[in-house]
Amino acid sequence: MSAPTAHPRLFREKDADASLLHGKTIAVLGYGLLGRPLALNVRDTIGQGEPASTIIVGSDDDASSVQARDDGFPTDSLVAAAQQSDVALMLLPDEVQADRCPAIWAALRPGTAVVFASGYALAYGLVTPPKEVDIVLFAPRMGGDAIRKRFVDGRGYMAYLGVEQDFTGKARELVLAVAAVAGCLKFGALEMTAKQEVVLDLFVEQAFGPWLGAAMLSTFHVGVEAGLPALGLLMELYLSGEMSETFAQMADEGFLPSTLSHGFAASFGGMTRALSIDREQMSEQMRSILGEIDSGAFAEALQDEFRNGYPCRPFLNTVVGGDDDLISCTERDYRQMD
Amino acid sequence: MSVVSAFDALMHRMIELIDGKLSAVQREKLAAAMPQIQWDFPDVNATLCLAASQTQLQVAEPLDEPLFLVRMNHITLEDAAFGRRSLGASFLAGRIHVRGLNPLRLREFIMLVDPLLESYREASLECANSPSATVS
Repeated sequence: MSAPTAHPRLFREKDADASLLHGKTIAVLGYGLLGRPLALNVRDTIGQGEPASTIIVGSDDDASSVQARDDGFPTDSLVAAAQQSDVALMLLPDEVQADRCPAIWAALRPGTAVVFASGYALAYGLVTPPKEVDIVLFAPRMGGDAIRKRFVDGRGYMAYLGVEQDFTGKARELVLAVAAVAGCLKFGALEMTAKQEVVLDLFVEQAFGPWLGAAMLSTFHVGVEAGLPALGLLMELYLSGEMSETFAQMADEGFLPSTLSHGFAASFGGMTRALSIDREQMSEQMRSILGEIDSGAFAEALQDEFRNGYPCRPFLNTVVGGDDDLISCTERDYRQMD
Repeated sequence: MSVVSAFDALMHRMIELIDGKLSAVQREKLAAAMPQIQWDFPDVNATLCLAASQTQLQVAEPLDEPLFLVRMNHITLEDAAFGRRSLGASFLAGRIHVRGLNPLRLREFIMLVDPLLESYREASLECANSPSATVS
């Protein structure tokens, strides 16, 4: 049986010509969780040699600018950095971009390529780029630390990439070159539109993530209530790294084969328990979440949150940032053990 | 006063106090996002339905299928109100279940949290027979 839809195109290193970026000025707009590792990766790839590229960090945030200078980058304001760039990497937080982009657009020279690391602002029409620039997507699928670590290890990482606006006629070659020098293509990049990228990202984050988190929390608390050792439960769930190995095995061997490799007892118990879960209820909730993401309703709520100064943030920080819950206490005890 | 009526009196007073803590704008937002919020308190076998209109909050008849439902033990609310256990810790422990909550309504829900805890605390202290002693 084949997949129900055609697969997106998968690009590898052989598809890219990194030399397109040699001698260019690349502005990294935003030096946060993703900006810093990408800037470091790009510099390590094309910041030296002949002709070397110039990597400049644009940031209006004092702490980020200090960090960038400590890392050895020249810094400037967002607008000034954009003005100097041949390629501008847009790495500001999603919800902030609508506010900051108009000034950045006005500073760009015709023919500049703007590389979005998330499709959010483009997909929901929150930004209106000028016609005389290339607009492309290069969206890594990992956190910044993993991106840097995998680059240093020479492994590469997954990303989505695509062309949203091709003014120069070379937008695809350009985004492939960016993906190559950022260290992604040793693993590979799938071609996506901005809308596909953002819906995929938010959907998995909001549909799968909460179920996984809730399942872990419930497993832990039900086990503790029954007298199982709290530390043992956390070891089983994530502390030992067994779960990470299981996910790695899924990637290497396939989802179903990895399940079978845990032995008969695991599939005998696990698969029969899975059959009793109300998947229709789960799916119904997921369809509802997907509908709100696809329609832009979630984006509207997030933009509203930003415009009003993040009123929900203190509450969310209280929930996930507390340290009086049993999991945090158990982790603390574990880290203090010899 | 019976156990159940003591609890009802406490909850009614709590709603009155919450109403006094919300601004007209907040009440309007709450009424638009969550016109009815129902609480189930399984440990005391009680249900409270709060109806929010643009002019006031009031206790309403419980619904069979509420769109927005908070299920938590009364003791969980009391622990949070008196600072014995945070709502965050209770949520992580699975002691609070909220049905119908999504990012589109989160602001209105959060807007209600502090007034709710403060009002519960004040109402408890006002009541001669503290429900913490009698409603359990």
